[in-house]
Amino acid sequence: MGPLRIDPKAAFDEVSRYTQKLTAGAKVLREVDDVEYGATEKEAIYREDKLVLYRFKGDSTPINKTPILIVYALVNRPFMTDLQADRSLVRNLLAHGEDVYLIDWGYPDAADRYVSLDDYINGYIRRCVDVVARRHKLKAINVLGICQGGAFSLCFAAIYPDKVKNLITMVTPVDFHTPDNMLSHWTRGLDIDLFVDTLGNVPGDLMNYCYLTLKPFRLNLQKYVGLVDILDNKEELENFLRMEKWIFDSPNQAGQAFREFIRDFYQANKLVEGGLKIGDKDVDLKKITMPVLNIYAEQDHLVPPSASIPMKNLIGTKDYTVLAFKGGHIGIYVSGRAQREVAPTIHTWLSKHG
Amino acid sequence: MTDSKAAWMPDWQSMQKQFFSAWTDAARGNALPQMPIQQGFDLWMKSLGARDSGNEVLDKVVGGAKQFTDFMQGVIGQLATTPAEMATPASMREALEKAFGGLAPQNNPALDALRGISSEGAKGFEEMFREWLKQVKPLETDARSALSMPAFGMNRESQERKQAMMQAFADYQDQNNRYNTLMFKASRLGLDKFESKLAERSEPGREITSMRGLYDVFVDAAEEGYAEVALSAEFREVYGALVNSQMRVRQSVQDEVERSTASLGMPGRGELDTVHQRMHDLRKRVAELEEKLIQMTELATAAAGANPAGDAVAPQATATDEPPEPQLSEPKPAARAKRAKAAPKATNAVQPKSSSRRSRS
Repeated sequence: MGPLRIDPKAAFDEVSRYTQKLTAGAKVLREVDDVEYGATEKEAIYREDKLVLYRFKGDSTPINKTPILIVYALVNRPFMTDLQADRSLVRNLLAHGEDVYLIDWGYPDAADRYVSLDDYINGYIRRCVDVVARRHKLKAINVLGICQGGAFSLCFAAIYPDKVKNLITMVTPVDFHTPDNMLSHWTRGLDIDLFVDTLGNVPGDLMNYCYLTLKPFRLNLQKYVGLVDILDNKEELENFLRMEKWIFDSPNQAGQAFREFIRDFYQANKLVEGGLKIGDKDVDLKKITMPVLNIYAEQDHLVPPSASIPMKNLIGTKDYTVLAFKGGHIGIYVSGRAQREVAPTIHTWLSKHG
Repeated sequence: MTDSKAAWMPDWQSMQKQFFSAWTDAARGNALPQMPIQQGFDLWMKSLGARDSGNEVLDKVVGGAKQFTDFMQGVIGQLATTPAEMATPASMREALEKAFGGLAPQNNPALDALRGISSEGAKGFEEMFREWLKQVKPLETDARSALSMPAFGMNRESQERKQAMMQAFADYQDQNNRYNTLMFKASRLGLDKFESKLAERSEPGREITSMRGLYDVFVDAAEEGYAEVALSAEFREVYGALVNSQMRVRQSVQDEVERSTASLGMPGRGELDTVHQRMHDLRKRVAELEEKLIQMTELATAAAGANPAGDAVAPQATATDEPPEPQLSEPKPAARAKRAKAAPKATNAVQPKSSSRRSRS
């Protein structure tokens, strides 16, 4: 017997359905509304350069007296955490009584070319943490770092352990040299000085291209073939478009910070190998002694689990909890499972840690 | 975008009927003259307007649909001449290769998939480079002519730079060819894996029962083939060399453009970089000074509290029980005016709480 058992009639029906969906989709695409992300009301409480620090407004007064500051990656916009009302980590945290702040890095331009990791971590993040702590008359707050922002949060917590009460990291790479890390593999042959000296800031479009080339058939072809399935459903199409908007709304990367991140994290793997300095501050992960909750995604193609799991043995805390989420790098925020699991896990864990 | 549904739908429906009856005939052993899927797709395209409609999502959908219909056409072509249960993994692979127009270093699914990525939201090295080259084409011509001349006299330096630029161009082409060769290898590997996966699915109960199911197997196989190449040591070296060579070309051309604009009295990238770097360094120093001032204020305040008789040196800035807060969002005009009034007395140097740096958005 061969590998196919495709009945001609069924195949014909499949082709017909596909073309009908395409036809209906042509109409829906013309009717679809503009999509925006960022569903939860928020208040800007601090600004510095292009950075805005927001505090989200929940329906009720927060129960937890220690607020959470979300530190997102520099790539892409931070509103993946609040994509839409029914897909929002922020909204779910608020509903559990957490008080949530978020740093929006803005869109760097040529004048920001020399903004370095020292500026981001010892400057912007530290000042934002201080602002939040001051508002709540606390010495330390909870920090939730995401992806590259998770790596920044690890550095920050190692340099300023007294300012972080509890550290939560989501899809955060620590070991950049695991064999399945394609992105890291590709950066290793780059002359990063030549790259940044030539481009200045690194275009967001180029970053997107690199991410899509990690899985070119799946992300550029199969995804859009699959889209036809929902092309005649306005609401689902709008959800899809909202995600597309987020994916491709990518800020340029400040050249100097990009250079340092690729050189020290991707190429030299200094979080594992040691010797990392941010500005004039040494980063020693053993100084991370506060409780840590690390959440990684089992199907993450950008930050493979193998890049995040070693965190446990590199940091100094004795209070380490890990959650392996069944999903991918984006699904960890927007999937139905994420709505049920991620915020409740964070809230329960924080409740146990005061 | 035209709304010509009524005009093309009957044709499309008629073709689908033809397709079904032709396929049924073929299943009975008769030859299949023509596969109408692609024609139907072309009609649909016409109803929407061509690709590059200006709507990126629509273009992506159309692009994905086109690839899928190419794929279906290849499969149906195979099934039309061979009953489904008789199709072997090898014959399916062959049919697919034909559907893609053969396999060659410049024409293979992996390269197509990468080329297809370029869009408004994602511009790759190749795409960016192509667009950018359009702008600098005159320089390339100039440089090519310079290669045939000896470098001496007043233009010696300029000519050597242009020769180096041409060398960088040539190197980039070489690296690009190496990269394309690897993509060809990835495509071949993908098809090998496609064949293997089909063989695995030949077991009773594991057969593929739909076109989409078959397409998904193809995508899985293609990704696996690509990943195997992309994670290899060779790819790491070639990818790095490709990007580095492109950067060298860009840098040499940027330098030439900057020289040209400088001769016309226009500021170039280098000058702006200098300004930006100095501005950045200056802002950093101001921030450090601000923080030191805040710390001194806090210390002085604490000292004054401990020694109310006033032996301690009074701070310049306003002394409060609370350490000064950094700037919180945009100050309201009234608050700003109030602070401006109070400020001159407090200090004639740096105001620790506010600076233009922190209030800009």
